[in-house]
Amino acid sequence: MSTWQPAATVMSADGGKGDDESGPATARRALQAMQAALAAEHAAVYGYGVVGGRIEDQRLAEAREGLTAHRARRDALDRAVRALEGEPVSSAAAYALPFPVPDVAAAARLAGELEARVCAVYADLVRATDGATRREAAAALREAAVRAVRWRGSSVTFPGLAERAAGSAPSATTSNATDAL
Amino acid sequence: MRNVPLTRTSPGPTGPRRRSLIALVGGSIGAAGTGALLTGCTDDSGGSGHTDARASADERLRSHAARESAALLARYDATAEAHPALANRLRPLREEVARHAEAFGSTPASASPPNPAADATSGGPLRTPAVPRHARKALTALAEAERHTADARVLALAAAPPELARLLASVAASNAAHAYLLAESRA
Repeated sequence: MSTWQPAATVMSADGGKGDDESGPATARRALQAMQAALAAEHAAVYGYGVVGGRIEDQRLAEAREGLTAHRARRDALDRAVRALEGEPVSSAAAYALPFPVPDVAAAARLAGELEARVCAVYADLVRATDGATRREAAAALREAAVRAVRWRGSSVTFPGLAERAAGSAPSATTSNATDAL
Repeated sequence: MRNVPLTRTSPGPTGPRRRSLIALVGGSIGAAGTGALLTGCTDDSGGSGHTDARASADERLRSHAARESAALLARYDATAEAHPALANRLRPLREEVARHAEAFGSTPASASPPNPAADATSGGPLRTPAVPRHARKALTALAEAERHTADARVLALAAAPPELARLLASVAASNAAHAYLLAESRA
């Protein structure tokens, strides 16, 4: 149900630099960030297919929910890129998984990893845009972060901010921190 | 980890584009500490009244965000005090909220006020929040506070400069995730 409105993506200023030169550059950055988000959503849709094939029955609904959400975001981003007169990045025929997914535990870990990666591209999209597009990116980041903790059972201090991830290692990599609330 | 994304198994014509996207992402990783960048923006902007106004608006957004985190911290502390049995479960989330406050520029001392009254001088009065007597309701109240904070940050980021908007969005997402975990933990 997301509504990307690329008309509002061009920033008025960029980190204190001159306003006059920022128009085309920020529009290009917005489009690049949008393409990166789209590529991540393609990967997430593919990855959730793998998750759905391995996950236990009790979590199948959760996996379907994730897949549906990522398809919707992917389609909205595809439209938004076209509206900016970009050529949307396409999905690959297949993706190499970051680690083998032979069982239920690995499937849940993969789902958490997919969500973490999506968080990162949306954090960057927030930075590269403003207006309605920024708002949607923030909403997508928030949803992905909540799905990530559902899969992992533990939280991350700064979802999507890799440069701040060092201190949050305990919750970033393990799925067994069940006592971490 | 993010440097090894789900990779396409066939290079194909999109290879270069993908590399450029990775380079884009890599650039964001390589960025120096966000706080330092933002501080730089604020400090460098003494040139004109326009940038001064923007810098002070940014500073207001940051300090407001820091105060919201401090208010959440006070709520965590009050909840843990009223319900010692919850303290261990709340601690990891509380620590994350403390780091949020620091990222927005709070000093650790003001971010974790053992004595909330002491904060009145730096960031406005922080009342000790009322904590429901039942543990389950206390968790609900804490979850709602996290959710409201997430909502407020999402509203605030509309007017924020790029890096601060990114930080606000991330912290809002973390607040929302906390709300989920708190709500789940009631069961």
